[in-house]
Amino acid sequence: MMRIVKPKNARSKRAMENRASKVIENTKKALTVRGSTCGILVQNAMADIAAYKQPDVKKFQKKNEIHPFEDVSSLEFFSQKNDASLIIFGSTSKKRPNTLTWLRTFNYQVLDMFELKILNYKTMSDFKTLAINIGMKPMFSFVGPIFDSHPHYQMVKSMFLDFFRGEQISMLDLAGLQYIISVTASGDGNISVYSGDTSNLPPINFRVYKIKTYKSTTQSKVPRVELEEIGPRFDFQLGRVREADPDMQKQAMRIPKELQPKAKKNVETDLLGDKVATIHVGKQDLMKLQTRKMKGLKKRRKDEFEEQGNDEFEDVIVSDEEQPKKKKRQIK
Amino acid sequence: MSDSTSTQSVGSRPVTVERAVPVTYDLGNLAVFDTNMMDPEIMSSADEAKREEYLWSLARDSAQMLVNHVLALPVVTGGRTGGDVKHNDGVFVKLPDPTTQLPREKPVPVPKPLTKWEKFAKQKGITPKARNSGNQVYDEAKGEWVKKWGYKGKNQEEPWLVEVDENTENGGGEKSRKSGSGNKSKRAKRSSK
Repeated sequence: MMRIVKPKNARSKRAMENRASKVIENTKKALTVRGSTCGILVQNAMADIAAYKQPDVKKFQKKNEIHPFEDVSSLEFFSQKNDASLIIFGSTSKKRPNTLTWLRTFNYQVLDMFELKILNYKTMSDFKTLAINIGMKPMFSFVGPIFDSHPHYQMVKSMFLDFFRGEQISMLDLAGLQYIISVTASGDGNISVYSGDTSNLPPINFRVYKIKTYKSTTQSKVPRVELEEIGPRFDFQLGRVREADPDMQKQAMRIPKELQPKAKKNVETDLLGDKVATIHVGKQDLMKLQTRKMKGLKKRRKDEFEEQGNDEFEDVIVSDEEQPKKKKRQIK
Repeated sequence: MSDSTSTQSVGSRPVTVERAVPVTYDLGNLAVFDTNMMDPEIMSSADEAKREEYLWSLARDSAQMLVNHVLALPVVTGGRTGGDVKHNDGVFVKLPDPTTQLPREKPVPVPKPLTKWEKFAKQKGITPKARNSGNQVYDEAKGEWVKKWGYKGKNQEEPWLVEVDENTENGGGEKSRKSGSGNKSKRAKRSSK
């Protein structure tokens, strides 16, 4: 761990505040790290993936003697040093050729990671280049029941969403809908979950398409959507997986109090789907109730005087009682 | 697969897509999750072109469904509408909050522990003085800003009795000073010595 330093000037103080934990977090930053052996294919693959993470990505150029499934300490160090919580580690070995290790950190500690072996790869430059503005939010499509049922594939889905979604926004410019990341996996959810061997799991197809919209032939207002593949094109095979520690996962999934939806009081929906509200009315003062006006019920002037007179009389009594007490105190 | 669209020619795909199992959306993340079974025959076939076309058609249908849903969201047009809109033009849709929960990057911030003084102040109900409030208060009766205290201050009471200057009352603003009084006469005396 690095030592905690007190900021010496306003700029570094601001930078440290930006790094501190927040209710609404910054966009997650990513790193691409090369292993000690990392072929051109893996390098290109990492560059292509990083292109869709711009501008929140840093590409490391040097080789690193790291084996993430044996020791993650140096990757955790990179994570802390660069304030990046997403890491892609590329390596090639005889046993595990062309492998990308996707890794996610929580509080600069590894949360979960998995290996994706590249079975089939077509670079972005192999496609007809269609420029996409950087920082655009992608649309996602996950097709296949396995993404809902198999924990490893759930992790892959979560990781891809986390990695590519970019900045969280509440207003979307419709011109910003430019491309879709389509992730598909065949096979049903009935594959044994913890056999340990992941080689029999169905491959994951990763495709990126540019969206083109045309006026629909029918009368409807919605446009017709056509796609053109812009790459990269990957077929991944799931390799080793390290699942998140349950405690850490729980910590990471906590929603701050400020963001939790407030319980709506007094508004319910009944069985028929109607909105029912409970209205709380304050207690009514019946003494002030205006009843029928009659001469006999009217307050007469004499009564008022008497009431006032009584009040005064009471006051006098009280003051009489108090006065001797005061005198006594003074005497003492 | 109840997808009837894949049989049609590429140019005339419909804008509505139907799925046997209804898909789920996460519009905050612009994502669609389709849990329908994929065609195992095409996926396991050796014909790569056929497979690619199938994947393409799946993605197109997903994109179409997503676009249909995004366009159905409430629209905000142009102007500085607040939020994260920094542009002046364009058509914006208001995205709902994401439904897929993703892990946080850092732990939820914990409030700083109270200092000894803050604890004491809280116990005693001592609130910090309003800073930078200044000496000016808006007087609703007068309809202008007045000082809280001092000359013409708000805490100054209006004198309930004011002595009337007889000269101004009678002469209508005439100078009350006699012409021979003051410095002038003293100077005249001095010069005559």
